[in-house]
Amino acid sequence: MDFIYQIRGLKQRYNGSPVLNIDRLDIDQGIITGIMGPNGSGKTTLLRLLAFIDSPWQGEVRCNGRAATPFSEHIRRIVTFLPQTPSLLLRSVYKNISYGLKIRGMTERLDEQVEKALSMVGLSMSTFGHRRSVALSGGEAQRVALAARLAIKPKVLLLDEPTANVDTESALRIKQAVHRAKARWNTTVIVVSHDSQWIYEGCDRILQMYQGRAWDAGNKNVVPGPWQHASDGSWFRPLTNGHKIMVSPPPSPDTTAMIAFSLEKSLKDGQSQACLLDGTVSRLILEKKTGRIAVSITVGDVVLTLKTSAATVEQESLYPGKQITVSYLPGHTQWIVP
Amino acid sequence: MKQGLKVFTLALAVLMLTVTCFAGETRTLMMATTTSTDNTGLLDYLAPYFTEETGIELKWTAVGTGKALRLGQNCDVDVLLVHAPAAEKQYVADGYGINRMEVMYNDFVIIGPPSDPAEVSGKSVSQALKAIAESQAVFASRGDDSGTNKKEISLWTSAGMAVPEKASWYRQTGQGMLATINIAVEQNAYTMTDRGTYIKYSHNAGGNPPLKILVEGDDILKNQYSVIAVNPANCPDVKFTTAMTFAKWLTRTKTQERIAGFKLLGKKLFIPNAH
Amino acid sequence: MDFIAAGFVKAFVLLAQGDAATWSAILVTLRVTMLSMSASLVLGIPLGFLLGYQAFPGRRQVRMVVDTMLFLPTVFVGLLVYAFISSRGPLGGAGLLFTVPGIAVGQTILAMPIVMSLAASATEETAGRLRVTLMSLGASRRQLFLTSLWETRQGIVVAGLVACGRVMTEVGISMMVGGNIKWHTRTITTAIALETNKGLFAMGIALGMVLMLIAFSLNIGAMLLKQK
Repeated sequence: MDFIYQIRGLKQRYNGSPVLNIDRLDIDQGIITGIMGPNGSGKTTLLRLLAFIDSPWQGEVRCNGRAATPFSEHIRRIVTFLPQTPSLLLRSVYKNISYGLKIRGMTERLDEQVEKALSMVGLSMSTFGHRRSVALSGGEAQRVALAARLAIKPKVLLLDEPTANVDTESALRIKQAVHRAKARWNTTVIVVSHDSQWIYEGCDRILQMYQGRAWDAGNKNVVPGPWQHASDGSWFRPLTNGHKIMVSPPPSPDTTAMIAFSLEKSLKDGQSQACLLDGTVSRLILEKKTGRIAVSITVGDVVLTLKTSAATVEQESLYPGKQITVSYLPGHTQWIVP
Repeated sequence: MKQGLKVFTLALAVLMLTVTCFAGETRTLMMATTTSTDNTGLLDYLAPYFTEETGIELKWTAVGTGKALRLGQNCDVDVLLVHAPAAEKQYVADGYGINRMEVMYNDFVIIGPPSDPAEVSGKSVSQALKAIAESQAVFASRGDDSGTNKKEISLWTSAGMAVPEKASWYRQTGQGMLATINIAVEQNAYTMTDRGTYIKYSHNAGGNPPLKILVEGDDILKNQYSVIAVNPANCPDVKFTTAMTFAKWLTRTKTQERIAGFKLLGKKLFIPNAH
Repeated sequence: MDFIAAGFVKAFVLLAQGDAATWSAILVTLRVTMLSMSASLVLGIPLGFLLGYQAFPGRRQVRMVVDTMLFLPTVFVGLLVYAFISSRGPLGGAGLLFTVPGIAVGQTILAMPIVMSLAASATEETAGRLRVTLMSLGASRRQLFLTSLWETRQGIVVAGLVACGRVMTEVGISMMVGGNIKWHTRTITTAIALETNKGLFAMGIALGMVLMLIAFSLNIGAMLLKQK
């Protein structure tokens, strides 16, 4: 598969502070990539760089094999971005959707194109066509904004929290439209969302982001500090259920750790013993692409996510509410340094 | 489409209105005169006759005497019609004005509350002012360097007194005649005004004004109006011939008769005295 | 107090009877306003928009100067303009003193900072969000500029209205530079000053009401424009 994006040594700053640090990332063409992570982890920053709205502080983003900058001709034609904040122009719905078409000179049978785009997001032309942008609800506005971007049949569609702050029906329509775009035009979709259900069910690849770094979601979990130093030299963090998470010595007591958890009870790496934690299964989601199940386990005040096979789920009788033990190797702790 | 039409009609309206600014060049004469002169309405009455008989349009701006003289000095006007003889004579001596001709006069009066606390009624100007100063009765002055103001100051000087600038009972308003009279009413004060303004003020008060004329007729209260052409030696571009045409017209018998016959609210105001 | 009611009635009488002096003052006011507004909008809108749109070194200082000029007293501007266009002044030859264009020059100086400052503020508010929206739809630099300008139209209309209000109601410049010459440079506001000085308060009120009627019609027009 071709890579539509190739990222090398990408660093971005905001008001002098580093907000993004991605060494190497390749994004495949024609698939749906989902990005999850807490606020402030750099998701919007990354999307804006992929949309070529901003320029990086350091590093390079290649699109279709070519380097590009904001306003680059070949990027403008094919890459679209749906921001999280309202992004409609002060004019009718019709004019909002036709804007992208007009500047590309795609004005043949304009009415038809606009109507098709509107129906993709579940809005009727007769009701909404002449409505002014300020007379739309949050959900309707977001749908129109998406329609404006779909109208031009983009090669790349970047979405920043497209279903946050919208009503249920609008969220549904937006998700449907995104999948249709991919199906019809082989659009590459990169979507940032807190809707983990949608991400797991709908995406072909899932990236996790935290403090400006990105990695493929797996069994690695982000565990924030602060870490305490025990008298015997070990480092740990207490949990509300009385257990402790053990780690290797951290660069600083506040550094965030990345720990891989497993359901295997006999986990070992030859040198050290695995540590165990007791927790409760809180959620099970099917990862459509791989057929694996993402299991969320609550351990005290921390929620961990593990991927496992459907067979294991059946074998271990995993259901929400079941008490379960997870294992991990403290010696293998990775640290997230911004 | 509708938008384009809107913009077009707007542009057309703007064009029409602004173009008329620059239309038509008739012979004009620019004059500076005083607000009190303009307020009498005499110029509005005479100007059409002047245009009829000479074909020249008279345009005038009404400002304070000080400013009128300044405008002439700066060559912004062609002719002056003011009433401050001492300042005028100096003006001509300084070379700013030329061919000063007396045109007409009216008079000033001293007005005050009917109760007359300083007892000035019927007295001569000098006696009246002395009485006001001694009893420290409130006196409103224009204090704006206008012709009227200069006249008022000359009254104090001729009475042998210094102008009571710093006295608490001497209130300088810095404003026009009517405004000053209104302030005098508020403060139950005396003030000096030209008869023309008093006539109007009296009329506005329905014939029964709160302040009455208490001192009048004194020779020193004469208010002499003169026309002065702006000196072409100082202002080469000034319309000197046209200015002289106006000056001569003003002092002509026919015009002088018209001036005598002019009535303000039914009352005669000016006595022509050109020679 | 009763002159207020009397003035109110007199306003309609003057307009209905076609009182020549009143209509002359109305026309002069409209002429002066048209001239000064055309100049200040043509110059002020692009400059104000750029001030809000484009970052450049010294931008904050320029904005400070423009905002300070919002406080220019009209008599002060009138005096400065007089100094320049008086016969003795550097622009004396232009013959602008005591004319409508002369007043317009002074009023343009008054109006431009208003147009610029308000246009800049309106632009700043929307510029960031618009940039993302338009770039995400594939706009080029030129398209981004032009569309942003059009998107800010509501704020610009407000700027124009405020400036127009200031200009139509000022007395200092009209008096100083125009000279309040009957039939020629007597505006509604200088006429009000004159009538009030003559003690004819009812007339002053009447003329004031006439001015408000004109302002009202202007605002109706502006509202229709905004709704587009």
